[in-house]
Amino acid sequence: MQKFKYLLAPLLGLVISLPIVSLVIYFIAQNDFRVTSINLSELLLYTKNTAFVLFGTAFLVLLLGISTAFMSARFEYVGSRFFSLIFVLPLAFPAYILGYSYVGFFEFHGILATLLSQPKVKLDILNIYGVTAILSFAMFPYVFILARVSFASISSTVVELVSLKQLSFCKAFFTVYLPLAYPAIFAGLVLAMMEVLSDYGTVAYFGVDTFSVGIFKSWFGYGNLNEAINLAIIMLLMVFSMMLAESRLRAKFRFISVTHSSQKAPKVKLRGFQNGIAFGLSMLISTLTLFIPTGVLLYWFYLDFGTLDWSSLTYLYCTLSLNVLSSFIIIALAFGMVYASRFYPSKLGVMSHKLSILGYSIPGAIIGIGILLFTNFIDQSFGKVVLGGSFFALIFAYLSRYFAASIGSVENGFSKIDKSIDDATIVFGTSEWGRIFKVYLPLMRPYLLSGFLILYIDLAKELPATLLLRPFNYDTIAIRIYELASNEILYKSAFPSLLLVVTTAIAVLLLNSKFVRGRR
Amino acid sequence: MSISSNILKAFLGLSIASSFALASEINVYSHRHYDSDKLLFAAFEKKSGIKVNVITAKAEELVSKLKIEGANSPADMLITSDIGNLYEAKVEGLLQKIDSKTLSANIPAHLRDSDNEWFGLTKRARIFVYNPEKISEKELGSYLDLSDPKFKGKILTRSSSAAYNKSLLASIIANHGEAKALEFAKGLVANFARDPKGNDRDQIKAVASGEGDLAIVNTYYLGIMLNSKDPKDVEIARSVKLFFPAQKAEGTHINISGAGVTKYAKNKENAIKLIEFLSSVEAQTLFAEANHEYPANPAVKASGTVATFGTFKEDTLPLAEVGKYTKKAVEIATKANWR
Repeated sequence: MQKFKYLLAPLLGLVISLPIVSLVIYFIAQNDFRVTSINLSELLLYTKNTAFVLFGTAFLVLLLGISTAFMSARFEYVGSRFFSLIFVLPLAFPAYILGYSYVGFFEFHGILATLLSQPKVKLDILNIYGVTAILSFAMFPYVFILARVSFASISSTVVELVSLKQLSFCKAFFTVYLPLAYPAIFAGLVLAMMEVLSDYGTVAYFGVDTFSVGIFKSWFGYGNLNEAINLAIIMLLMVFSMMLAESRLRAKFRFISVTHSSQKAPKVKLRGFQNGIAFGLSMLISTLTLFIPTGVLLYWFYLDFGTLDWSSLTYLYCTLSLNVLSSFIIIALAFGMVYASRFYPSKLGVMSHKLSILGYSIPGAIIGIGILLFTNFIDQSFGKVVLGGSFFALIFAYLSRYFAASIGSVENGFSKIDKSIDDATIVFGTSEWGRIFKVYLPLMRPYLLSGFLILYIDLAKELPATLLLRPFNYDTIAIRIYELASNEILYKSAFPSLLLVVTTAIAVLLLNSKFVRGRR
Repeated sequence: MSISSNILKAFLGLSIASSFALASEINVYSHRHYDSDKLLFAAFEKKSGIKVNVITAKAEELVSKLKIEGANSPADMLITSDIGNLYEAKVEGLLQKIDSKTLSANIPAHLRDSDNEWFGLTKRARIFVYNPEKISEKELGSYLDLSDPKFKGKILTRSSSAAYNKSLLASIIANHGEAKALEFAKGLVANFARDPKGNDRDQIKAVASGEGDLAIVNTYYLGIMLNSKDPKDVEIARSVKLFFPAQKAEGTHINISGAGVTKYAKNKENAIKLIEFLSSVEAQTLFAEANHEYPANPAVKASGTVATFGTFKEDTLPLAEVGKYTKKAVEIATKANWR
């Protein structure tokens, strides 16, 4: 029994990464490792563009994410509670919708031109800089959500130490607070980066050839799915080795031990000039990342109002029911995996953990193919259709693709629980289930909920895997947005997009409610 | 209620396909995602009593899905919005031959497969939209003329990976040969006003804004813009002019949305009935009116807006020829640096 527990984490990791494993098996079974249709200069271009977009986005995501997280977790200023809700919401926009709305804002005869009554005013953002900015606006909340929980749990002991040592704000920020939040910031950054890598819709629209555009060129252009899978596996290997390198690096800097037992430091009330700066900065960031795109959508919604299609509400119902179920399953498995790795650690566990989060970095459509290969293998073994076209296949795809989105929060939460608590539960002879339900789940609540929130939002806008795997007649709101946007009738996509943002806002409000905050 | 019970069934290992595979159903994989299609399926359900189940996704994905699923596939029918993928599905052996007098009567020969494995349902003409202040109609001619240096810095189009551009280039290969097509593609790229980006509407806007003088787009985008609720769209669409290329040569290139019955269809008869219905005057009229596409059935007229574009000579090269050269077109576009 005890031995089996050590196998729990590796097994979970293996199950979650089955679609990727299927792809790798397919890759080997095809015995065709060539990448022939894409030439070297194209590959170089893809690599160069990917690197630019990746590093550019990383820089902006860190800048926006850390500053917003620190401000809303450590300071009280005019509107600080309002902004802490607002900063999450850009995540509700599918990145390509954010792109479309920004183009609608800046284009010739666009909304900015109308506002200024200058029809000729336009700003061409359909380029690599534009896409980098758009992706950063869409992704920075990952860092915000995760880092904010970390910054908010800084203990008063740490703050007292900082003031005793008479450290300047800058010094304290960079040498004390930032390192304390490092695991959270990094987890958020990894999510953002992997999503940037897997993005296809936005970069293709903006005319920037990244690696994922290369993958789809092989598949859609040359009709060569094998080659597309080969390229996706090359990308997987790169991400996998980067993650291994990072975990080595992180092992060297193991300094995290902020326990739940010490009291949390109170927020600092800002006054006068500082208050104005914090408000101004928050206003600027939320205008860029939320108010402008929402304004564009509201304007389109207004144009569409006469012919509004209320059937979007049924899509919303499909989205929410599938979403809540999937998010719950995924977060429970993430908890199980981190818990098992903590109490029953093994090298195999570490490897399979890394493997299980890779799904986030490759395009969802390729994960979808992995699932198809797997479910079809099962169906063929049974000689009849068992899994194909079922919700099981779809939820499995979500699990594989979005496991990374939940496990970061869970790990971050566990890292804040002092090992002495583990020892105490063992000394007191608490049963395994008692330990889980009475000690760890309550301590982990804010982290589990932030993980759940990220999942919930990610799944609500998930498109490629849903498109490929959903059962007949089952359309989510993201699919509705895609249908309308790809018909190039953009103003019609405003209503479902706004619905998506509103449901997210409700989720955020719920999570910010007393139910959650009371225990923080 | 029904959703949770569906989820339950799924978890019990009952597939949607096997549990609902009733005789009065049809499962459609479609790349078309227009509301007009939903209306048409509803009309068919009402008329025939056959329930239409639909999954929409990208054509390439649906073709790959059919391939992986093989005999297990629940799909009875495939609808794509361009010829390339339909042709690919046939070549991969994913479709089957059907005999239907109705379809032979409703769909002209060049818009259907010679083995009757696929049938065109709507036509899209790939035309020029130009700025009348910068270019006069007299300067315009065939597609090949766009590689003339006199258009340097003037031409706009989306990327070569867009299905419509792929098919256009494939038709040029079929009509004029590979060497000529490469020469054309290189000349076209040299004349680009900017790197290809955005969608067809963005090209029309770029013509209106003066970023370029001429764009290659599908007619129905102009139709949609002219009927848009956004007054700026209408203003932009009115400020440009439309030209049907190659009238003195092979005719304007047209692409199709089309359908075929899948090889392992469990509801073959129903699928044939649905395709026949979609080719009928009733359905074709809705296709034309709702989405400003040209009806494939010659008995049906174009929509009011589209009729104002005028009549034109269309390229009657059998579309199978276009399908044959789609991959070659990607190769040539890559060689010519058409991103």
